[in-house]
Amino acid sequence: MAKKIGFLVNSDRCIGCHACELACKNEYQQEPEIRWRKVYPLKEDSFGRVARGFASLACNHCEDPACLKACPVIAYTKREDGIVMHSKERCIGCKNCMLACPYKVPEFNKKTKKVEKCHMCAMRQDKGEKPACVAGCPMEAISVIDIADDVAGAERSLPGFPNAAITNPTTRFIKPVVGRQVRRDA
Amino acid sequence: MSNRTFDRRTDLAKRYSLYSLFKQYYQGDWELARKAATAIQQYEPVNDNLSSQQDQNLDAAALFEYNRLFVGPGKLLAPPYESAYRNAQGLVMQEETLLVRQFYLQAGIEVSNKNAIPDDHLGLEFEFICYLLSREGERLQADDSSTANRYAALYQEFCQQHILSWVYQHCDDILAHGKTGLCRDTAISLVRFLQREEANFLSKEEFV
Amino acid sequence: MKQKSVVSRRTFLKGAAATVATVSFGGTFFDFLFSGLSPAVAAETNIAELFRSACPRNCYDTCAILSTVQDGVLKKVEGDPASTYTRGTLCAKGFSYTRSVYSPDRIKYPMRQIGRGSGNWQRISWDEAYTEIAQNMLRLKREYGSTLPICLNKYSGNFDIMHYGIEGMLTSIGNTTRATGTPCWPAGIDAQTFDFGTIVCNDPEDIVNSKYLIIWGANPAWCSVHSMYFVKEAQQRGCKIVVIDPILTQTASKADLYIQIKSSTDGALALGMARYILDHNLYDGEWLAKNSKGAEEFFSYLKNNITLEWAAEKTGIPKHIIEMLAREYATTKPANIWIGYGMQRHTNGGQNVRAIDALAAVTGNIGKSGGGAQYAQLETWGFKYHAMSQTKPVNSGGKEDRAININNFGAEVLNAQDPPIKMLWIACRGPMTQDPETAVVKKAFEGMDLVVTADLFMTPTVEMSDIVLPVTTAFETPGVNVSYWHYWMSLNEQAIKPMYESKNDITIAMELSAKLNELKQGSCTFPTSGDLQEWVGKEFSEGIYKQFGIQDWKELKKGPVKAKGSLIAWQDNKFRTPSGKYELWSAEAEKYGHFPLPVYVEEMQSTEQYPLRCITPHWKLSIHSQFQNLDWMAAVNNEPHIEIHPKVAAKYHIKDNDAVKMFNDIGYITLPAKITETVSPDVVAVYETWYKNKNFNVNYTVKAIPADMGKKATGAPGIAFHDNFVAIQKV
Repeated sequence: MAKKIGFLVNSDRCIGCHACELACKNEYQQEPEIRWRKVYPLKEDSFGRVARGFASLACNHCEDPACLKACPVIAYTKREDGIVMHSKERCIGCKNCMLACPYKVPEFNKKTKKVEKCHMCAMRQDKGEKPACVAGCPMEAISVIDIADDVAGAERSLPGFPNAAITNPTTRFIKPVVGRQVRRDA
Repeated sequence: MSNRTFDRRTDLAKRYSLYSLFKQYYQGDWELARKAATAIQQYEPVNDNLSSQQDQNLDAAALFEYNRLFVGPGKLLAPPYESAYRNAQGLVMQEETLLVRQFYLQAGIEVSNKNAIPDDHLGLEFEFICYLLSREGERLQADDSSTANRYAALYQEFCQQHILSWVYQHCDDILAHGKTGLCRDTAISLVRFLQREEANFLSKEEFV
Repeated sequence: MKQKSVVSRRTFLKGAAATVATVSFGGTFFDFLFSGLSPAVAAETNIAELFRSACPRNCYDTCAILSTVQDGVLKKVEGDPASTYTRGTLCAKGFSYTRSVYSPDRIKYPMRQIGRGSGNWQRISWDEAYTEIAQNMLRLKREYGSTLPICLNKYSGNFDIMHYGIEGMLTSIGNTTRATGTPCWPAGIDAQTFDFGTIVCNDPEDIVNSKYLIIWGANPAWCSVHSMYFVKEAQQRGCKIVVIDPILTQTASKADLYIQIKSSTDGALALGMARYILDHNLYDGEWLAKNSKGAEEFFSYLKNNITLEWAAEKTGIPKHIIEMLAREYATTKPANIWIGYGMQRHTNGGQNVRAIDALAAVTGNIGKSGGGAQYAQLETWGFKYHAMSQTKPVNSGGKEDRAININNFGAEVLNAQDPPIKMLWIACRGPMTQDPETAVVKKAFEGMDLVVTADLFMTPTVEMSDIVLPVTTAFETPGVNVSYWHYWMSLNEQAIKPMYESKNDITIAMELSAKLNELKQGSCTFPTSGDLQEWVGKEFSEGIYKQFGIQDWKELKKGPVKAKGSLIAWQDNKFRTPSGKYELWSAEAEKYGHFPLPVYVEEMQSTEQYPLRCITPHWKLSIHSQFQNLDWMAAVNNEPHIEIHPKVAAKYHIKDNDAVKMFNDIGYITLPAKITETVSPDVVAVYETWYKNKNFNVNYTVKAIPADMGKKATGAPGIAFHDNFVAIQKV
């Protein structure tokens, strides 16, 4: 069986610098409001102590993609390696997928009047290159993994991430570790 | 030469003249722009209450406004770049600009100072139209109507794909921000002229 | 996006009627002449070319960039994998470069404003600009007998070496007034100059060899993202990461231990630690005996004046934590300290840095891989400064250049007498947003005969100028860049043609020189012509070639190079102090009016009227006034916030996103609240940056209070940016 890939988001390494997001924009020279990848701040006290934590998220390339099921014109397909592809040619801009996706990933491009989303840089990956966000991260906090592999510490969710049971996303997370703190506000 | 060809040439000459004036208005320095604006009012007058009808000799006010609208140095209030209207954030030298570049190239034309001035500056787009119309006229003169028709078709295609897709909005911006008669009247004249061109596209099958 | 115009619908019929009335005219088509267009000479090329670029921003990381250009258009930028420091990545700012190059907001032509601040601009040719500027320069020289009424304010907007030619341009017209100093880091520079003789840091890639790392008042996760990789790498190899900062920064969030110190008391913590180290015999007596001067005096000061109880009281850090920190730091070898620029922006900042340096010295961590007290380095900056080194015209009047303090620019311009300052040349700088006491700066601008600003965008500084000159981005011009932190050097190749009528600052200098000489032969010595690429080559010295192991600067076209050797600061223990030793006791410091020893100097206190300390650190999506104005950044964040501790918020009945007015006796800003426990209850934080179309400027409330040090190495003390006390209220 071909390997199934997914993003591994290492929030312990992530410093919330937005380089991944801007690397994606730079690669595809996107419209400003289109954000295939977004760096979400986590709640300050998500991990016991106060900290600035983030989850860098793009399309979760779900094993059971809700977008694909909701699309009336078969604009969505799932590749053998797991990448959920969206066809701009087929898309009619009906936005059904936007309503269906629990992660609010598909975005409507007002200019093209169609939906678009992260395709995990499928073209780059087919050439043996890393996705732009992975290549652009100064902290090596994002990687592409074989989801069958047992990555130490990898979990299927982070606080604030919608219920993974719905669509079975392939994104995996590593939780941030917050160190000891000596604060003056006790 | 048939009458029809003669009419076509006369008509072409008028349109060419107006386009040259609009080209000058957008491309020239202020003195040329001011002269062009005055001439445009002779050919395409605005005689209704839409114009603020201010004293067109209020040179300084018109100059500052012209710069605020089209030149800078601040954020342009009515940028004369196609990409400003068709690219979401008005970024120049993107896909929208390069489509114009490709169109020029298809006709064997490029921007002299390529990559320093965006290809889709309105002054350049109008110059391109002047070029196409002049070629059309020249071919008509030479009784080469099939080539002339090709230029006419190319003009129509360019106008529809590019000019008409943004210049109305550009003129709306001028009217929204402009206060002087000079800038406002020129914008109104431009809209009317383009609308006529647009209407003609629907009824001039004899050219094509 | 085709839309019908409102006016077009309303006027359609009238327009059609007008056709009939149109004057009939024949005309000929053969008068068509190309002006902006021409017959195409070559077909469009789809081949992507790669150019080596260098990010010239005022930033630790100074990244090597690979720029992709297609048919003369910059398509995208990537990190150059040839640099082992940046490892092929950029930061969010770097990845946004296409947006500044092709921003519709760029200044496109030279323009003259009729009435400073009026917004009434007319386009002028470069020749008209030069003529007006040159005539004013010559007039001022005639009227005042020298060019001293002409003042230059240029600093960190572009750190390409050739850009120092802007200073050269001013030199070439005679004696002028110079805004001297640097706003952000001089106190620390002087401190290390007193201790070591100058600033030198270890190669930041060496951080991975540390076993203990204290990041003291620095936030690399925002301000030096590529260093953060090495910090994390060290952590994974077992190094303990300690962050000492009044704010729980992004870097602090990644630390093994975060210590929230009371702002500006860092010296007290360092001295408390030193006392513990002394008491427990954890110091390196051998190193001190061999390599230092004044250890005895320092130890005696510690014994007589410093207690851990006092340090705990001062810093707000429990005594047992100070003890633990001191013990761990002194016994884990090698131990490294990264001293940030934030912690020295205080009236006792330089003195605090000296106390921290002393910790590294007494524990023998200096000169060691994995050890040291890192601040910055200028070792790789040994260029020829060919563009900068100009000669003054003979008999041009005045004795010498006049220095005024860049850190109190407004007041110093207003106070300058005999002759007064009448003309400003501003380049690589935005005093109207970045200087303290904005109102005073504005007043200074108002008193000028002529203000000339060279810039990319319409900033509040350009708004207050008479002539604006459009300048090139780094992609439109050649240059060479080094860092004040890492040891790489990158060539910046010209990747694309300058957009519109923009010009490099050096081209401007050459052409202005030609005009000055045309109007008055001999009035300017700056060369009137020259190839910019060749000028880049002329910046290289034999020393630079030797240091980087290259024979010719053109080798840099193959990729960035790193300095060969001397990557560990002070490894030879040859210090550049008067004694040649590490000086715990510095006579030089005394000469500059400081204590010879790194003793504690009292920090500034809040007042009843202004009870909160406002800290204004750098913001992650900008460097000073650059980047946050771009559309891609605005899509990520387009709103400044004031960070307030929940206890303070409760006291003032402020909820998240409530509008808060922050004020003191010189000004105010109003902005939404972000309630967060990342600040302490005595501090509010507002990140300094420039948002397009927002009347937000942290410097409305920042006074030009000098930091304690900076005079020796940089000509003027720094600014105590973080000694800004304010009150807040909900609006």
